[in-house]
Amino acid sequence: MDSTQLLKGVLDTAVLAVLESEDGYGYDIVRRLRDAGFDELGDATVYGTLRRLYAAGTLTTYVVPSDGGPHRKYYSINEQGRETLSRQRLIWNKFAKNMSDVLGATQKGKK
Amino acid sequence: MTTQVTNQEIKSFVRKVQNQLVGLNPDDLRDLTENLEADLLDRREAEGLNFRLGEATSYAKELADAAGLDLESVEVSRMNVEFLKVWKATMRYFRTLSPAWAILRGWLMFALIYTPILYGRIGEVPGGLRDTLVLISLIAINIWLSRKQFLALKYPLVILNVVLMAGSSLVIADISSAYSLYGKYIIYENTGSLTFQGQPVRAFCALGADGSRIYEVKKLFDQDGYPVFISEEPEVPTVLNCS
Repeated sequence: MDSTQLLKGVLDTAVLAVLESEDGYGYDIVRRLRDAGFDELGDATVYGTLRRLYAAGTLTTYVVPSDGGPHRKYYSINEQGRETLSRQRLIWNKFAKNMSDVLGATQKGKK
Repeated sequence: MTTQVTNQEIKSFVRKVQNQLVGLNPDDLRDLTENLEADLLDRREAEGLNFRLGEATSYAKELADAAGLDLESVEVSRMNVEFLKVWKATMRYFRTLSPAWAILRGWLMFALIYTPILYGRIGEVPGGLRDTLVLISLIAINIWLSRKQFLALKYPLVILNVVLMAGSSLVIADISSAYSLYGKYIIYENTGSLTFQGQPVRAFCALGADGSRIYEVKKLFDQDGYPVFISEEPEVPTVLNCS
């Protein structure tokens, strides 16, 4: 099973969760997701997701000037984003529990 | 030897990605790519010599897919943009021909509007001083119109251009017809004052110095200054052999 495909379904939740703890700019968010174990995640996928979440109204942005290069656009989760994340967390926990139960039951059945 | 990707290569990569997405709404395109250069610079710093840019087309596709933007419609829009570029370049080229078109339009107006109204037929060449002055005036007016940008006249001029362009085929047909008929016989009818050996001349042919028949004779006058007209259905005397 390809974990990249699994991640695609929950990437929005993962990005919102990363931003819940601290604001971040594009590559910073990619790095934090990779540090969390999603090594195969393409940076373009994350940048596209950030733009989609922003368009959906769950994120806000602000620009931080840089002396040494282009300005950085920081993303921040807003109230709507927190509500979305809260709902998705419940759904995920339920889904993960159900999946664990199914997989556990299958394992027991084999024994 | 492995070398680090340069800033210029990153800038060029970002431009290529933007070109792939150029059919997007400008705001979407800006949102999606305005921070790309900074992010790629960060990634290069983090990955060092292992950093590779990859292929701009697939990167753009991944970016658009993740952003929930329909890449097929982007492709169609991109084709539209390409078409628009070609269209604009063509229009720029035609604008450089504007003075020539102004002269041509003046002449077409003379041939297709003025002469049919006055003489009942298409006429490409002015027949006298008045015609020449009218032709010069029409050309001058058209050059003046082409130099000014009258918004109110924009659409009437477009319609006039289309009509004249369509009518130009009539002028071309008329000219080619004149050339193809050149030398074929024409009978001129005498108004009565022309005589030969005491007898009134009823009809005659116009021949060139080489003996060939002349078609486009504008006007003929007899020795008394009476005009000789082209007959609709001339009676050709048997003694005359103009065929």
